[in-house]
Parts: sequence; structure tokens; C-alpha cells
Amino acid sequence: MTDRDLSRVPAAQLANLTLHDGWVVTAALPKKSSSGGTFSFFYEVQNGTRSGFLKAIDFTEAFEPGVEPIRAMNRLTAAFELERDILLLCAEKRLSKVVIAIAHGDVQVPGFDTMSGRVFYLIFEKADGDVRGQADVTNRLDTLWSLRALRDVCLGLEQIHRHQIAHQDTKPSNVLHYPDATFRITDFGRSAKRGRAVYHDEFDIAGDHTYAPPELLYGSKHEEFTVRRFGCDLYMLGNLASFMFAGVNVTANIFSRLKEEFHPNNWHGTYEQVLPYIQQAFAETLEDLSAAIDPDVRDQIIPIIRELCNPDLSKRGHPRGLGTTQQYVLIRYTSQLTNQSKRYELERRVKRQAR
Amino acid sequence: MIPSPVSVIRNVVPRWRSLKRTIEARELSFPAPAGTTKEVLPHSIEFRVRMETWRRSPSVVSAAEIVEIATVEGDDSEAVTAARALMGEHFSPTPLVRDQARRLLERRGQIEPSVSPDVGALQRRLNFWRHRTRAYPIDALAWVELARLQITLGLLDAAKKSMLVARQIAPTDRHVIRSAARMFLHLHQPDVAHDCVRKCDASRFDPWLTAAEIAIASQRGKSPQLFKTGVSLIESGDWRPHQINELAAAVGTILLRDGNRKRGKKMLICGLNDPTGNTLAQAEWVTAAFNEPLLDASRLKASADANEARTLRYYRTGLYGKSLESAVEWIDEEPFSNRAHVAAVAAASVMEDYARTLELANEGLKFDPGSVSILRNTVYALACSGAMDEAERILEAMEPEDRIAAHVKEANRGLIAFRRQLIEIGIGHYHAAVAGFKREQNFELECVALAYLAREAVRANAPKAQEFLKNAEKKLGDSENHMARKVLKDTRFMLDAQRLQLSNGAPR
Repeated sequence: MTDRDLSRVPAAQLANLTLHDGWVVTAALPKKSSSGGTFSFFYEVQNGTRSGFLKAIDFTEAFEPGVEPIRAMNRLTAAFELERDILLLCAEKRLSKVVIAIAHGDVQVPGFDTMSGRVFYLIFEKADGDVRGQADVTNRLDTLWSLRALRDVCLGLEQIHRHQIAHQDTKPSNVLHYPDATFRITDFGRSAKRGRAVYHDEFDIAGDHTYAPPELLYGSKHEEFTVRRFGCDLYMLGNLASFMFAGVNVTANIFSRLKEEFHPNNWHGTYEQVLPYIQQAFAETLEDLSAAIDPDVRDQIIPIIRELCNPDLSKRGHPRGLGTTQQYVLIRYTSQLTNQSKRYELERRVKRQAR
Repeated sequence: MIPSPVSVIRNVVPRWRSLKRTIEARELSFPAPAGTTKEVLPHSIEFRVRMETWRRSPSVVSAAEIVEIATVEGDDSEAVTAARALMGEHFSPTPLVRDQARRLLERRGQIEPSVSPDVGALQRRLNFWRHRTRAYPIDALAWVELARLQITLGLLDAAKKSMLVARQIAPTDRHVIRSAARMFLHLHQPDVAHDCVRKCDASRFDPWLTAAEIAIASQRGKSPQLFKTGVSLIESGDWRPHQINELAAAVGTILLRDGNRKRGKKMLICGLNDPTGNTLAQAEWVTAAFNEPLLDASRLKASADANEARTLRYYRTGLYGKSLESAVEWIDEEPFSNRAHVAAVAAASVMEDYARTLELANEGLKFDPGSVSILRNTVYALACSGAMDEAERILEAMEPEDRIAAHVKEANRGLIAFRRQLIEIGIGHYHAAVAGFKREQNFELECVALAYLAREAVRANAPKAQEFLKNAEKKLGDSENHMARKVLKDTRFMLDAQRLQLSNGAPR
């Protein structure tokens, strides 16, 4: 990304343009450090009193040296269409915990020809920020907010799963908080919808490797959509729980404990063969998390992480659902987290009043 | 008298050491096939974007993200600055983020590794693993560690249960299966040990498990089921030398035993390309047992994983002090190993450090109360320390397992008789033992028995003491029997000292 001449990329030249639906691009935003979006640029946009966040799709990467343009264009447009359609579906179904597009369209960037200069975009409601600050003790959300965030993301994933959509990239930078004290999942650029093929379906890992479940990092892909894709979402939700309450992601924590020979770069056996070593590293991670998580919620959060992040895909999910069609269904966790956040809020209020 | 621990038949049965030690010995790796080179992958786009963000605006978040992605992508080199920043005073990451940065710096050798919680007293370590298995019961390797400590502490039934759980969780894992097999060998259940590897689906594909099947079958005196599979795995050329080293040693030992010396030696040499300590020890044993020199002493000195091989080598070459040192290190790694205790006790006995011998023997008997080899050394040390009644009680309670053992028992009867000043009876027992060894054509033990007879005769001032000494020296000649040579050298010294005392007029 750093070695391209951005003056020749139309999607990077949207600043100060007025879009045909009245939105004005006010400023370019730096690429998010943990963004997996390889084909997009980001801007702040304004429409009267409404402000938003614009994602411009960069199709010029299809014309980079060494890339087969027709195939690449097909892939890029299919990916854009899938993301747009999913967002439209989310809007239509009124999914409350998903960041939906408030506008979408295309714009001709001056100075470029009509084919390469046409930039497609999506506009989202502007959020207060994401939750990456949880790694910093001076800048993190407290336990109640963390519980709410986790509950909202859990509900968001449950909502999209009901429509056979897997997010596949649930990570701190894709969890946005809004002024109405809610949290929503964003960035469907790496999502998958059952029955609809998209180019990143072929990837071992559709989303950010850093947060991916270990089985995918070792190239072990289950054939079944639900097991592979929803299983990945479950892991990433557990991973987010670890991040919200302790500031670390489980995948990186597991890998930081593994000896070099067990790293995917050096392991040439199967995932089943390396699994005992991953399980041991995960056990250590859980031990450390147990010491780091707020004792008021530890007994509720640790089992969630243990169940959702289990490196063994066949054991991932709520214990009551294991081996059944309900294994990768999140409804139990949504209600558990809803109860937990309400109870915690109440207890905190009681404690405050007692003081 | 003390039979040599080197003479005990050895097979390349799996060792069972701590998981950490086993990983360090590279017994659990699964590298790329032989002939392939490691592919250096370029950094992902995410990595590059994160590096750019970290350079542009250093913060806890950007530093933590660099450490995370470097860890996951397996390239720590560019994350050192970020990790150092997270460890510094200017940033305030959560404790676990800081720990992750610390582990990265440890991997890079930038800071000293932190102390593992699995250290210290056995009971403490047992509690650690017990807690782990309760907190996360599907950690198969934790169950194996727990079983190992339970065996070490003599909790045999508990160990069996722990190992059963480990096998249920990870029925094809190399470490679990090899450890289980070794555990059952220790529990004198070789058939169960054999079944562990024989019935494991992975044994036909994993050379480490194939090696275990061949070695355990050999230990049981049975024909290995996977011998041909093992040979084809070695000859396929698909495996790196370290991956097939124990397999080659196991196959080579069987070939040598069956008389195919040329091919057997070739296999063992193949195993020595990149050997584990187990293969080194096997090569050392083969050197002595089949008179097939395979190993340089320098190679044993250089290896960090050769305590057993060193113990055997030093004993064989008469460096008993060094043999004892290595045996003690070997015991530290495999506290339940009968062979390790036997070697330590034997070395201490030859060094005539009877208090140490009895101490080591007691330790060894805790793990294997019926160990004939340890009991034999106990008898010797007790008799030499003046506790003849106890020595005799233990000796007479021992049932010799073969004819050689019966002759050793006879020699030890002679020792006890000598120490009771029953000189003629003692000579009679020793002569019976010597005749027995001669009948068995065991020249080495015949020399040792003659040497001990001479020593006891000189010590007791027996009339024919000098004659016995000369006979023993003549019989030994130039042979490389270090043990007999040491006993005779000490006896000659004793005799000279007696003469000197006589010439000085000192009372006898």
C-alpha cells in the first residue's frame, strides 16, 4: 500500500468532491491500522447536519503489474456487490447491531477517464470510534461497557447468521460505538453468504490473520459453510471477549506461547496433529486471562472465551449445543450476556448507593 | 560382585521426559519433507499497514498490534522496537499485552526467559498440573505431565488414569502415545505398552511411533509388526534425518541382533546423522554389545542430550566418577527410569562409595522395588559396609533370573563369607562362580569374579592371596575390562600397603 503512487488512484482523490446525493467529502482518513481492506480508501462526509464515513472502492488494483485485469475486476466488483447487497439486506431486515450503509453510489473523479475514474462508494453513519483502545489501561472502556459491547456484537452476529451471512472479520477495529451507547459490527468486505460465491471464499482466511481461528492458520478448512464460517465467527467473538476484558487477542496469545516448530510456517503435519500443542497454549492463555479479567465478571466471561475460542472446531460453541445443529448458534450467549450486563449494572448501582 | 549395567540389553524404547525437554530435543516437530527449503513469505498487507501506522503514530494500540501480527505471522524481527516500547515506562498497556511483548523479546533473545511455573519440588509441580487438568480438562499434554509426576511420586493407579484421559483426548498424538507406551513398560506391562503403539493409527505414518513399535516389540521378544513399514519410511527419502533417527536405530539394532551386521550398521549410522540422546545411547550400547564402534567420544561430549550415552560410555571406559555424574543427570530427566538408577548405583559401587550406593539404591527401589540389579548392588554395598546379615537376607531372598545371575549370587555369597572371616567358604563360593562364568563363556564376568576373589583374599590376608592376585592379573591380560582392572589395581595397592606396614613393623 505504501509503494503506490496515490495521485494515480481515483479512489484516493475524493477529498472535497460533492457526490450526487448531496454528500460532500470533507476529509480523507488514514487507513485503519488493522484494516484488512486492501481495495478501499476512507473519508469523512457531510450532508447538511448529518455526518458520515465513506468507503471508496479502489478498482485500479486490477490494473497493477502482474495482475490479470479481467479476473481481478470480476473479483473486485463481485466483492463490492456482495458487501453492498449484504448491507442492503441488513438495512431491509433492520438489523440493529450492524453498521448499515446509509447511502451508496458512484462518482466520476475529475482528471480521470470515464472507465477508470468511476469510483463506487458506500456511506455509513459516523461512529464515535472503535474499541481498539482496550489494550491501553489509560484509555479503556470499563467492565460494564465491555459487557455491553460484547453483547451487542454477539447479537449482531446472531442477527446476520439468521440470514446465512458470516462476517469472518470480527475484530476490535470493526466494532464501532455510537453516541446512543450501542456497539455495532462494521466492514462486511470479507463476509460470506451461503449460496453466493465470492472470490475471498477461496482464501484460507478471509479476514485479518491476526484474529483468525487457529485451524484456518494451519490451512484446515471444513467443507460445511456453517461449521467453517459460523465457527470462525464464534471464535472471533470469543477473541473479542478476551480483547474487551484483557486487551489481548487469543490467537496472538496462543502463538506467543507456541515453540517455533509448532508455528504454521514450520509445521507440516495436519491440524489434528498440532492441536494438542495449541490446546496447551490455549489453556495457558485461559489461565492468564483468568487472572487479568475483572473478578466481578470473570466466572461468566472465562467460560465464554473457553467455549467460543476452543481451538478444536468440533468442541467450539455452547456445551449444550455440541454435536447438534445448534452448535454454532449464538442465541444462548446473547441472552447470557444480556442478563450478565443487566445484573452487573444493577449490582454496580446498588454498590454505589450503599456508599 | 557387581555386573556391568552396560551389559543389559537395550532397545530404542521411547524416553519419557518433561514436555519442555522433549520439545527441546526436537522429538515433537513436524518439519517440511527432506530436500525442501523453507519458504520465506512476504509480509501481509495488514503487517505493512500496521508498521506504517506504528511509525506514523506510535501508541499502545499500534505497538500492541505490531507485536500481535508479528507473533501470528512468525516474523518477530520487525516488532522488537514496538515490544520494547510496550515494556517501557512511557506506555501503559494491559498486563497481558506487556506479557506478550515480553515473550516476543524472549524469543528474540533480547531478555532472559522467565521462570516456568513447572519447576521446583515434585509435589509443587504435581499440584500445578493437577490444577491445569481441572481448569482445562481437554489439555492432553497436561494429563501426560501429570501422569509423569504421579509415576515419579509412586502414584501408579492415578498415573494410569491420567494417561487414559490423555489417550482418550489425543489418541494419535506422538508425545501422548510414546509416553503411554513408556509408562506401561515401567509398570512391567510390555504387552499394554506394545498395544499403545501397535493399535495407534498414526504408527504406520509417523516414524517416531513406528520406531517405538519396533523397539517395544523387540523388548518383548516379539516380531515387530511395522518393521517393513519402518524400513520403507527410512528408505523413502521423504523424512529429514532427525525425524527417522530413532527409527533407523531401532531397525539397525534388530538387523544387528539377527546377524545382518552390514545393513544393521548402515542403519545405525543413518540414525546418527542427526540423533536424539536415545539414539546416541543405543549406538553406545551397540558399540559395547556388538563390538561395532559407532561413536566418537567427542560427539558425546558435544551433545546436550546424551546423559545416558555418556553414562554408559564412561562406565565402559572405567571413568566411574564421570559415569556417576552423568547417571545422576539422567535420573533428573527420567526419575522413574530403572536403567538410570541401576547405572548410578553401579558406578557408585565400583567407586566404593557405599553410603552413596545405598542412598541411590534406596531412591531407585522406590520406583522399582523389585529391581534385581539394584538389589544386587545393595547386597554388595551392605556387605562391604559390614552389614552382612542384612546383605545375606536380601541376597537369599532374591531369585536369580538366569544362570549368570545365579553365578553372581554365588560370588556375592563368597563376598559375605570373606567379610565374616570364613575364608575357605568364601574361596569356595568364588570358585563356583568363576567356574559358572567359564561354563557360560562369559570371559568378562569371569575376570571380574577372579578380581574380587583376589581383592577379598588380600583384604582378609588369606594364605593364597598373592596367588589369587597373580592368577587374576594373568587371566585379565590385556583385555579391556576396566572394572576388573580397577579392582585389581586397588588390590595391588592394598597388598603393597600391607607389605609396607609389615616392613615398618606395624601390627597387622
